[in-house]
Amino acid sequence: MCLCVESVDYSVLVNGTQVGPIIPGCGLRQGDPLSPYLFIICVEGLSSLIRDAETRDVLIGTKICRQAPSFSHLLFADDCFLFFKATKDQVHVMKNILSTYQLASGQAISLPQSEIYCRRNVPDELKTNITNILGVQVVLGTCK
Amino acid sequence: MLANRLKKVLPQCISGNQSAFVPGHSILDNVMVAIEVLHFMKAKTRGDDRYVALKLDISKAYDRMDWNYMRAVLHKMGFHTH
Repeated sequence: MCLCVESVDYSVLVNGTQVGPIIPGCGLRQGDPLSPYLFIICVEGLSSLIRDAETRDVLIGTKICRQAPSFSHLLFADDCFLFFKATKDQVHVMKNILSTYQLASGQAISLPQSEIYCRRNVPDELKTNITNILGVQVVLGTCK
Repeated sequence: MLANRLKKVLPQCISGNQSAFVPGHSILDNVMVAIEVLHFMKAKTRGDDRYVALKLDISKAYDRMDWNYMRAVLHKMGFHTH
């Protein structure tokens, strides 16, 4: 499949003379219909890491009531929404998952630009602990 | 075309947590779930279950992707990688 993917080359006109061909080592052309599909396959790696942590019971997803299904993450293409319990252990697990995914996939998750929203019953002390561990900013939840 | 062929098998490869781009899923399904959960987190102040929601920001998401990783994932999913 990668043979089909890496088949573009470019040539550039510099002062009227042709330079090239420039052969990109990797990548797709912009707007290629294949790229969103490849991207969600890539993010599936993150999803399976989280699901794996869930089956090992080191990460517990959110349940909105007792009989509701539990879920830990929602993905909207490149926007991820993660839900977990507010304990230090879980935050560390989540941090490990994210760094593993970052290392493996080469994608950069910018935690300072990520936002965390705590349920109201989370005490302030725990809140600051979590934000310090992850390096994220807290939002009050009124902006969404 | 390759994209159209990939589209057919995509629902079997991608979990329900991903809602964008998958044929047969609507991105609004997960949006609705997200809104409901945030409402739940906002509304309930009692109870012992402490939850947090983390919104991630992946910078340059579409541009940075390790091809070896991509290859490995595709291989794991059962695609034949050359």
